[in-house]
Amino acid sequence: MLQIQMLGKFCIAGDHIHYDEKLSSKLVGLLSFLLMNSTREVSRDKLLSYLWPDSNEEAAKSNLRFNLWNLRKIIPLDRKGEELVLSGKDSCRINENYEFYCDRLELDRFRSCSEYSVEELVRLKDLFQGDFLEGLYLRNCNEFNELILFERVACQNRQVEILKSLLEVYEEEGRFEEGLQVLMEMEAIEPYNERFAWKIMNLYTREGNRAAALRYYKKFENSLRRHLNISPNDELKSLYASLQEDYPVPEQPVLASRNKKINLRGYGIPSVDFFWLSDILLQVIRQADCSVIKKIDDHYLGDLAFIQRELLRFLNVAGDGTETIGPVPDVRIIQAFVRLMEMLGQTYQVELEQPAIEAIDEKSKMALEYMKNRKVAGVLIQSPRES
Amino acid sequence: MDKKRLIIKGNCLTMGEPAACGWIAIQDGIILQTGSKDQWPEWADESWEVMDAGNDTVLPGFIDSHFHLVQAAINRRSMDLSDCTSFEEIGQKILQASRKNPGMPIRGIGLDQQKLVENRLPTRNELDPFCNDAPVFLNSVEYQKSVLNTYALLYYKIPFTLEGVEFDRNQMPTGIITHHANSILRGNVLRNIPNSKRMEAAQELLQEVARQGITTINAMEGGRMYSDKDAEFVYENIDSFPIDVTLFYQTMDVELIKEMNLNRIGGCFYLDGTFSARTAALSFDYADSPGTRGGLNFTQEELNEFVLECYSNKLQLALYTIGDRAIEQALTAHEHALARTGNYGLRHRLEHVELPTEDHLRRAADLGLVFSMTPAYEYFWGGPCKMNEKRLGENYRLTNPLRRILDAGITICGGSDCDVTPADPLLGIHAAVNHPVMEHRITLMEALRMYTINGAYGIFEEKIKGSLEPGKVADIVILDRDLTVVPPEEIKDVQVRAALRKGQMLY
Repeated sequence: MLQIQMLGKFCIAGDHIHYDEKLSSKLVGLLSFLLMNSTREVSRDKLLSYLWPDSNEEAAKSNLRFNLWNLRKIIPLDRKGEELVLSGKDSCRINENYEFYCDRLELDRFRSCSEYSVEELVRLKDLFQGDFLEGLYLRNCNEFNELILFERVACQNRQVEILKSLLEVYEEEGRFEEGLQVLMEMEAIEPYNERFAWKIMNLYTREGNRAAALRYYKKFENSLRRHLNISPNDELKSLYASLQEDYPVPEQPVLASRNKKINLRGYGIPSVDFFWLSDILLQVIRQADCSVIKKIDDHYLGDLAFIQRELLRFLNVAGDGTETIGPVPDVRIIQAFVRLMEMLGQTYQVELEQPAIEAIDEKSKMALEYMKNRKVAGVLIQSPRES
Repeated sequence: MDKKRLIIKGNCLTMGEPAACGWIAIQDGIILQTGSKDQWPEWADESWEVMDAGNDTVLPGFIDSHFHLVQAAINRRSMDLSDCTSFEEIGQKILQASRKNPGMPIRGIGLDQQKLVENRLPTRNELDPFCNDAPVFLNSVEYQKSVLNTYALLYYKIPFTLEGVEFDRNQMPTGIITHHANSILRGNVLRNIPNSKRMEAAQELLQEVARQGITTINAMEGGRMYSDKDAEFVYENIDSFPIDVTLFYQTMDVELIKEMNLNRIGGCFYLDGTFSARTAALSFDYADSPGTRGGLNFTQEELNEFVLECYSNKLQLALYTIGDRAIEQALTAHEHALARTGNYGLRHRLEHVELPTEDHLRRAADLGLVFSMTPAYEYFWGGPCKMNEKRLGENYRLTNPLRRILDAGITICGGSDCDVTPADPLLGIHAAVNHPVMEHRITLMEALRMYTINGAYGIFEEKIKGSLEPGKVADIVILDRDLTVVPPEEIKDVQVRAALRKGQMLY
């Protein structure tokens, strides 16, 4: 059966053959116009005024004849031997006996006040593959282009109506995940719509996924700020605040990194105290999320900052990044290091490559031994590599 | 090895120590040595290319501290509608553009509804007769509204269900787009401009900019009303421009900034709006709109959080503030962040900062803030009988109080906000020296420092540029007159005779 798509780039195909490739823009316009008036005769004069308004009458008539002839040549007869377009002396029309399917005609049958099943609504929703007659514009055919614009507005409104109807059904049936997918499609059409955002958060919550609701809010808030330089309305803020009371949101989605591995391999200089430990700390800074590092108490971080200055940026220190951390006893440095590893082990799978023992300084060795004794969860100390 | 150049017979105002010199020796792009007019460098032989400055002023290359590179470049290739007073005039410009480049998108900027005899924006039906076979996209002043012809409405794929798509009585779109729809439209249009076009436009603009003696710009790119693609483009091509470009990415995404290894964030990060749109946040009513005081785009809490994040990550932050309420909000946020982190010395900036009070100045000085200002605003809109007086009444006398700011010990770096005002440092210097309110005027040397060493300070580059001292890059401007003897009212008429960047002739 011949398939005609108008809700998107115009496409006409049958038996795996794409006939649109053979159609000129004017011919697409002609066929589209007839399809939009599929239930009635369209006078030739009307076709001329819409499609050849700037040609003289004879030329326009000749063009129309040629295009109708071309259409007959390109579009095959159906199984019953019927033609798609019937043309008489004064008018033309779509042949209602011709076997074909057109998405636009199916959409025409949608009435928002009627009841539809989920399957029907999904089918209607999936009709939309783009804007109505996407990309089609006929030069100097102002009335025809006006018609496209009108239809495009109407189709977009219908699309939103269908999505809303589908969403209602999903909500009634408690199918929140599917409802969320529909809302995402609605959000793609209207990205800054705060009602949609509210509904998304509401559905996430009803689904039992408050964390997702909170994360969505932050994403939406960032988008509003980035593109419109406004913050969410009070209703959304209230919803967010009420969700937060029950579920404090982490600064960053830590769960996303739970199974992430970090591999720590440090370089040692035997004659420099804590050199290897300091290098390991640098690897931690480079690989771990800032939010994870910031979770450790400031006094531990401060102690470690004595041997690794890069940690200063995670601290509330006075001064212009220069040494404000006084000398720290070895015992505190080692304890702080182990504490940091414990905290990292809660979030990541940490692989700590143990160096050859003669390649690192004594104090780093002591720290390493202490860690092994503590058997820190989540931290795998790997044997030195064979040279 | 680079050419060796010797600039002689210059009235060189070094902006450093000593304050003046008579000749400058340049080698490998660096200032090798300077000296007084009486002391000729004996080692300068025929291998040195000599440039005679003819006793005219020689300065460090100008630094424009607030510049919208990509948008100014693209706008330069757009139709200027700012002088249109009727739909017919707009239409004629569209017609000319469509004949010049048939079938190509047409973009216009600066459309001012208040200047039009029709006292409204044209609709698509009024644009179509002038061009109906290419997209026409017109931007109002300050880009808050757009007007499209029918072709463009179909071409740019605006969702018609969005807030801001205007409809007529027949429920057909008029082509006038505002609010959310305008943001999406601008985003679609700007995103569709290929980077090759950005590069062509930027190179053209920067050639012109170089003729004004500008050797460094602070490019404020991305964010709302612009396109993040602009910022990405500048970031990726930072070494391809004929002058030095320092990127200020106008985003709140601190993680992105860190990933990009940038040290600074913000720029035209709008805490409030403008005087002309009556959206700058004031503590008093607009004189021509009683009851209107403008508005702030952030709550104090929101701003505090963001500023704190910048301090915690040691990012230099630039915030756009025009009205006194916006300045107050910014200072409060800085004080909050400094108290929490103690991270001083980041040289955070306030951009424009047009209406600071004495209290603001004292606090800004304590915070170590830098003011990045556009004196040319006063040239175009300041003083009696101009826009500032219309909007602010007698409070026009308070705008851009440069003298008081300097006296409070705050560093001011000068910019053009191009293309809001022309990229013309001499115009900015002229405007600062000839401020319409006499008590706000500053000296010529102070104004020159704004566009040289202070500009370098504003981006942590004062050790490498901004003054004519040995060891610094040879970014140099030679003027066509001796600025020190030019009457103040003629400063804007002085021209740039030559400009060098890293010792190479730029212009």
